[in-house]
Parts: sequence; structure tokens; C-alpha cells
Amino acid sequence: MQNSIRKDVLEIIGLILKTSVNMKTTRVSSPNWDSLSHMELIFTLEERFSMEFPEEKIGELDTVKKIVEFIEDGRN
Amino acid sequence: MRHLIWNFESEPILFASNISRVALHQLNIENGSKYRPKINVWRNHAIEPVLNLIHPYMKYAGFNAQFSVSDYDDSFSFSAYKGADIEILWFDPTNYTRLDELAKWSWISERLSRLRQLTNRPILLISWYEGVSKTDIDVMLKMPSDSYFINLSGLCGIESTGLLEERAKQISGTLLSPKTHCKIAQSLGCRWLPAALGFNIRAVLVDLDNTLHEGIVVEDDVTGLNITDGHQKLHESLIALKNKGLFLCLVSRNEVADVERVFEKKVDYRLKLSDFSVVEASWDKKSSAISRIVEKLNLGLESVLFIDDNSGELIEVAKSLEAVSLIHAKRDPEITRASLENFPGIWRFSYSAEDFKRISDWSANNERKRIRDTGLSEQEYLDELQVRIGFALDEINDAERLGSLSQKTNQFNLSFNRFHVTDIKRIIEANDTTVISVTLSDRLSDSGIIGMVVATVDEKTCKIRELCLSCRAMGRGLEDLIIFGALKQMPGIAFCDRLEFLVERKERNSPAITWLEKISGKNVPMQQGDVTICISKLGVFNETEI
Repeated sequence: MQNSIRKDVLEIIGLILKTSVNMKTTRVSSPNWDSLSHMELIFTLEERFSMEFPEEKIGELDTVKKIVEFIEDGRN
Repeated sequence: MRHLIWNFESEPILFASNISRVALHQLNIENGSKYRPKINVWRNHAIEPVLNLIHPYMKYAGFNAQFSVSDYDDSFSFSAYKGADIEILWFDPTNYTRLDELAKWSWISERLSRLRQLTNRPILLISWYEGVSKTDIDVMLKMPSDSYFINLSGLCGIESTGLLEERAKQISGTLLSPKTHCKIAQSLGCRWLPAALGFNIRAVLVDLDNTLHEGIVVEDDVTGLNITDGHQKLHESLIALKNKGLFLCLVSRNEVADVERVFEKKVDYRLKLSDFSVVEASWDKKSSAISRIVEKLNLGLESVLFIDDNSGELIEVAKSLEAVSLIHAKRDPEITRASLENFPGIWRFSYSAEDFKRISDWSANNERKRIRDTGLSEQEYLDELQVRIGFALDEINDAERLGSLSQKTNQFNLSFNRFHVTDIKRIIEANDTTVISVTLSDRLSDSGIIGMVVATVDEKTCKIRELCLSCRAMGRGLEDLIIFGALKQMPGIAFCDRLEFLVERKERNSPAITWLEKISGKNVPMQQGDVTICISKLGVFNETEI
């Protein structure tokens, strides 16, 4: 389950940022990860995992690792 | 062919009843289209969540718009205006808390009017309303010419998901709920922008087996054919298009008798054989059948959409008739129906009286041909049909139809000015140029406005800047009567000794070029230019009046 979430998150982030990403990718390290693509990421991940990110958390989800962990926690 | 195969494979994703944001991102969206219209977006809330999703729809439609998005501006001041092909006002009315609901719409009307002064191009006001009735909106919202209000709350599929969401505004800068973004992107890319850009399908040609029903008539017999609810809905969509003036034609690789048996025996068939203007049932190639239909209907290939379940036959058509639009009919007829209803050029902002007359007008051509073949003289033929050609000069009420003619006419269009409604109104109001609208009727049908001439008289020369005739007026041998009849109405024509036609030769306007070469006795140049004719050589200005 966790591997599947990780794989899907990596695919979606890669599609939206239009670049290859890994678990170490961050907003700082990825020039394509601007506020517009962050918004699109949130909406797309919410649809894919049928969940809503709390508004106060959205800004904090600035690394692939944090996003994966947040979704995994929500699923457990 | 790669683009075509991408389209066929993408249709189930692009036109799914519940469009997936993830799936849209998964489509390979490299868009090689060379058609790159410019679109200005004036906004007071975010459009980016929609533009993020529009690319696969534009690729499907065959264009790659360049959006120029303004800063957030509640005043809609249009500062630093630069021209574009289409203007969008992306308007959130909830931003104006100090105005009552009706005043907001009166105010945005004033802004639309200001934008109209800056451009002659189509304007789309995309918004929604709450707490006021449609009647109130109709009264308060004054739309200038060639501008259209798109009410998002009425968008099919959005009613059920909820249009607005306060949380969305915090995240994205627009109240529009994330669930609506895909549907809006679909409509913007495949309906509203193509309609504003002049995409125009006039005939829908459909295959029979595994398209209008499940099964193959020669293998399953009529009794073995299955018509699901989805097929019936597809039939109803086709009938609805026919009722709006689009031709329906059947293209089937079957015996005629088998085709007829399907329509006779299948009582749950919504479509009737009589719904089709032309039926082509043979073992000939589909492209040959389509060519015959296009010739019968007097249409350009670019006005034709063909739907077939067999991708091999679709590719055969694409190779022979590149300009024909294609939909791959899926096993699930709901996808086919959604692809049809959203196909670029199918949806329109409005339908004119001329649209509704198109099919009956064309149907009368068989009778006209029968009368012509009886050996009557030209005048006897016209008398027998009671042909009436009418002319109106600078008639502002004709501007909408004339703008549509200028935008959409391809075959009999000499100069391709592509005037917009706003241009036509401006020319009508100008003193130095005359706009002549031409109506045509006979005892079989009333075709409405079928032609337009825009001309000026400069000393002894009548300069024809625009000349276009609807395809419905072609093939009746009336071109000379219509065109010279219109030119006789020109103020000052009696003092002219020359006609000067502005002409541009294109692939699609060979009927107009052929007519001009015939009457002038000259070859029309390859480049845009003028063709001048001495009026005295024509000898047509003294012919019998109709």
C-alpha cells in the first residue's frame, strides 16, 4: 500500500512539474515547483487519493517526502 | 496520423462523464498545432486552475492558444491593451460587496462596452450569478455585438458537483470548486473558444454497424442488433443537431436493402432513415462515399464530421480527405455521444434563422434540378420556381448574419476579409462604403440572407471589397443574377465604367475564382490583388430584373 502511494505521488508530481522527481525533491530544489504548480499538485493529489489537505498544512507540504508521509498517515 | 490516433485514444478521457484530473495530466500533451490564436484574459479571480487543464482539449481541437492573462483587476480597466483574437472576461461577481446584485451586472455591461470600443473580436464574459433571476440578468446585462455571456452555473454536470467553494478560493484564488475545473476546461477548449474562432461543422456523417447500434447487420441479422440506452441517447443527440440545421448523412458499407431493413424493423431505433439527407450504402471506400456526399450537399470538407467505429476506415478517410474531422465511435456509445456534443465546431453560441432553414432548403434542390432538366429556358426556369432575389443596403439588422457569412463562407468568398459583426456594423455606419445583403427565396423554400457585397464607388470604379455567397445559393445557376443584381443597387454605379474585385486565391474558394475568371476572361493571380473588368464588356447590367 505504502509503495503504491509513493509511486502514485511521484508520478503525479513528476507529471505536474514536468520533470523527474524522487523522494528527496523539494520546492527549493525544483525550479518548476512554483505556487501555481503547487496548487495544481494539491488539487490533483486530493482527487487521486479522495482526501482534502487541511488549508493550514498546504503551505507546509513543500517536499515530496512530506507529501507522501502526509497521505500515508491519512490512509492509516 | 499520430495526432489522429492520439485523439481517438484520448476521447474516453477527455469526454468521460466524470473527468479525471489525474488522467488529463497523464495525457501526453505536446501540442504541435501551428494555429496559435491569441487570447486576452481580463480577470478578477484565478483562471490558472482551468488553464492548467485545457491543453489536451486544445490539442484535440487542433489549436494551441496563447493566453495573455491580466493581473487581478476588479476595475477591469483593460490597461496596456494589446489586440488579440478573442477577449475573455473572467468575472467573479462576489468581489463587489458594496454593489447590489443587479448593479454588478449593469457595471460589467459598461466594462464590456468599453472593451468593445477597443476591439472588433469576439468577447466572452464567463461568470455565474446567484440571488438574481435570469430575467433580471437579461434586463441588466447588456451584451455588445459579437459578445457572449457564458453562465457557469448552467454548465452541464456542474450543477450536481457544486460550482463554488470557499476553501478553493483560499488555495487557488478562485471560488470555482476543483471539481468544476475539468468541465470548464473541456467547454473552453472544445466549445467556447472554437465557436468564437469560427470552427463550424455543418454535416455529421455516421457509420451504421457498431456505431448506431451494437452488431453487424450482415452477420447478426437485424434481430441480432442491440440498441442500448446509450445508443438511443446518441440517436437523440444526432436528431437534436439535425433540428438545429446540421445535415445528417449515413455512410455504411452494406447493401442498401440491409440498411433499409434496419430502420424498418428496429422499432427501438430513435433515428429514422428520413432523418438523413443523404444515405450512402455501398461497398465502396468510405472516402469515396464521403466525397459524393460533400458534392451533393455543396459543402467544404472542413465542414464535415465523420463518426465510425473502424479506426482503419477513419485513417483511410483521413489519408484521402485530410480536412474532414473524425470521431472514433467507441464500444460505449456514451463516449461517442459526449465526443460528438463536445466536438469543436458542433456547439454554437446561437443558431440563426438561416441555420434552421438549411436542410429544407437543400432538400428542395432535387425538385429544382428536376425542373431544370425539363428543358425550360433560363427565364422559364426562374418563372416556374418564382425565384425572388432581394437586396437591402446598409441594413443594421442584417449585421449578425452578414458577420457570420463573412466568417464562415469558404467556397464562394472572393477576398476572405473575415469581417466580424462589429466590423460590419462599423462599415454600415460609415459614409463611404455600402454593405448590400442579398436574400433568396423561391416557391420551394426561403433561404434567407445568402449573400453579401461590400463595395465603394471611387470616381468611375466600383471597388468590391467583399463578396461572399452561402453554399446554399450555389449550384442553382443564380450567381450572375445575385451578384450583378446586388451591384446594380450600388449608389453611383451608373457613373462607373469599371468593376474592381479584391480577390485572394485560396485552396477552398475555387468556385468563386472560377466565376470571376469566367466573367472577366482573365486568370486570377496567385497573390492577393485586384481584378478589373470593364462594365461595358459584361453586358449584364441591362438584363431582365427578377
